[in-house]
Amino acid sequence: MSDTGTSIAKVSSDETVWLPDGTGAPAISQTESTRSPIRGIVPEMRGTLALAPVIEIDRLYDAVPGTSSQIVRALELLKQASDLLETARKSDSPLDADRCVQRAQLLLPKLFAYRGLGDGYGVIINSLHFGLANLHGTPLTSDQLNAVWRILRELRTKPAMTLEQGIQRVEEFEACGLGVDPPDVGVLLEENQSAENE
Amino acid sequence: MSDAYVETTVLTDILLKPESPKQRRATTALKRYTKTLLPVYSIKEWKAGPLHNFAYLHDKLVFTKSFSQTLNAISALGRGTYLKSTAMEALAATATSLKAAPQKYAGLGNRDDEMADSYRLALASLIIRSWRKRRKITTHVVDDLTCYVEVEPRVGQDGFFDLTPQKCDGDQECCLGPRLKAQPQLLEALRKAIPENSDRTEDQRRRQALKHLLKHPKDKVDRETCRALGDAIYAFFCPQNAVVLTTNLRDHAPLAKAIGKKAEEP
Repeated sequence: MSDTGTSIAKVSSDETVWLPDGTGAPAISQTESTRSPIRGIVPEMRGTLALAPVIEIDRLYDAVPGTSSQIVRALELLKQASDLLETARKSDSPLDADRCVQRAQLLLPKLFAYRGLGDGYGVIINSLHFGLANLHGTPLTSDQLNAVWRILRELRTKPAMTLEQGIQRVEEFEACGLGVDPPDVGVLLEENQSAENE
Repeated sequence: MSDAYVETTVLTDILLKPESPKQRRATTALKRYTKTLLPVYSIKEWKAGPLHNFAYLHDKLVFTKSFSQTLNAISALGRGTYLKSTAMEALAATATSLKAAPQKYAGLGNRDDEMADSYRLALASLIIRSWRKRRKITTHVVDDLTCYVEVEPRVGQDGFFDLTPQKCDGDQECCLGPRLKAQPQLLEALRKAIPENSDRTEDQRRRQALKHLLKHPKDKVDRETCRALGDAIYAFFCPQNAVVLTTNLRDHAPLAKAIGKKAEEP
């Protein structure tokens, strides 16, 4: 899979240079190369400010497109969706932007098929589906578009979110005015109910 | 302009009926009042009633992994479950022809198991988010219940919802007890407002609870009595300059009127 352009700090050095201030923090000179010896892997560093090794999502799930792996397929689809949304964000034409969003919307049922990745993933895709459906064709506002793009992009880097983490992202959808719930869920409740009738 | 003392049905319309005319009506209604007061008793009833039912529906979807089976199961339970049986029957009937008419459903997916997961996730999200919003919909939250702890619903390892506690602490007297017993004339007026020959269980329980409070003022008010008082609690504690805001005027209006107060619909 190709890189999404997600910026992850990279450090390349066979020998870590340490700051002379006794903090144990690594120092990187301006002239040092920041290219990783192996694409997507950040070497381990020591000291109080040490970073855990970070492996890019594409490196972690490096596989041939078309593979049967759920996560690889989901990441591919998420990339397609976030690329479409990025194009929509950059578009000067509201019409073209809306067309891109519609195309991203069409990917949601396919993305939902990979909900086995976790309930955080599932709840985000599901809520986005309701959020877009409840607009009844009205194009996303710029704030909504940015939020959807940002969250799908984040989901691609952290596909195994917990339900709680997913719900936090759903609250972000809501905060920008998307109605993320099924419109027919309220009819399931009896009129004028109260707990005392039990 | 009076204030509104918000009852459970209005809380339910706002929190659990998203994208519906009822939600819009209830939300708009709150703007009519200078102050909107949400008693914690409403939160307690809402959690033990409507939210509990949504959690049941969620758990049924977890258990059956089937949208149509869940709807059929709930439909079979009929009335008394608070899940709208007619709507459920209608949904269940069409659920069997899911493939033929997938457009009838708002959920994501065309298959029965996909629809089940779509609604399961939607319910989990709605239950947790609505809980977090409960104290934000009115200008004030009033009449705290020191004997009741508000704990956020959570999904357990088994995938089922845990909504405990739904009741007050049973070891201590209901914190509303002393305030109720301090005004026996109001309790008597409320008791008289309930038809003596009513065949509704909730009316009978309420009359009984009021009678017990009047006859045994030294007894501790337990949580069952507090719960049986139900709608009478709203009329009793609603401030004089406020109205009980409810969609259930049939039950609340006579009680409020009996003690010189008023109930209004959204």
